[in-house]
Amino acid sequence: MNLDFWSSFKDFIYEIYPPFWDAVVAFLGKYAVEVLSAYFASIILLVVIVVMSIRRSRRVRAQLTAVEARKDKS
Amino acid sequence: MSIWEYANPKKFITTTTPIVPWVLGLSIALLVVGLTWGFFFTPDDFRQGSTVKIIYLHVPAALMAINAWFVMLIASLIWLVRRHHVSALAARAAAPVGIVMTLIALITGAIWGQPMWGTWWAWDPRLTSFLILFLFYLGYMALWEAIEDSDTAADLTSVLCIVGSVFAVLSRYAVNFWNQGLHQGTTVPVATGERSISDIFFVPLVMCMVGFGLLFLALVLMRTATEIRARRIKALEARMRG
Repeated sequence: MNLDFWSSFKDFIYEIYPPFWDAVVAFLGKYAVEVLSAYFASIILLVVIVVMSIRRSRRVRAQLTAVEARKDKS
Repeated sequence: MSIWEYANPKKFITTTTPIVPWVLGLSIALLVVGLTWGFFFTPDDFRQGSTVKIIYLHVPAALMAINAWFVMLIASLIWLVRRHHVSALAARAAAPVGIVMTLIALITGAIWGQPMWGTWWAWDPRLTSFLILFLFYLGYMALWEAIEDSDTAADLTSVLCIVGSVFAVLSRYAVNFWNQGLHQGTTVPVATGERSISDIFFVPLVMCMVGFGLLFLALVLMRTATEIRARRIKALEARMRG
């Protein structure tokens, strides 16, 4: 990755919705993309680990209930 | 009452299940408040500009990435010495959370480093030891999955965890050992208490650090209970087949 990639990425984000981007740049200055990217990536990763943990917990709990019911029947 | 009572899987589950939602809720609340405060209500740094706002993610994630490995180390040692299954499963449960923290620290560090150092990555002692720690996390998780017998897997992963602790220590103290590279020293040295950060940034940073810590605790407790249940399913199915 180099600076050209980063500049293209900034242009790409700007094109999505310029008024929003203007407001963001007014607040965060020239490092807006860097700060937003860091927050976006981190929050996504945190949400993924929390959701995965909760989903697996529920699935395994349901499986255990089913297996215990099967054991009681047999 | 002894702490070893919690080595009983049933006791562990009945004790931790009711507290997990509270710990998880508190951690999310602290993170929302801390990150909102840090993002919207703290000023830019005179030298780093708005990139200083990355500190509220980078520092707590890096702290937890290293501490998660130490938690795994303690749990692994308990397994090796006392053969409590819950401790081996707790170590296993902590690894995915630790690797996410490590990944956040690496990604935010690279994004922060690019405008400040002019490069995404440098083979600096702290960065390199952190990358190796990330690879150890991957290896640790892969080893658990690769071995069928869970006791053997717990033994081997415990040994790997002890070896990897060298890099967890290096990640924290590499800057002090070698005194070179791009990465700065510790922002909040716990031992001396002489922090190099203004109160304006410090208060939301502490909130985020506590939030990350509680999130780690909640996820490890939840995932350990899941591992215990998954192990019981395996045992019951084996008994029914036999």
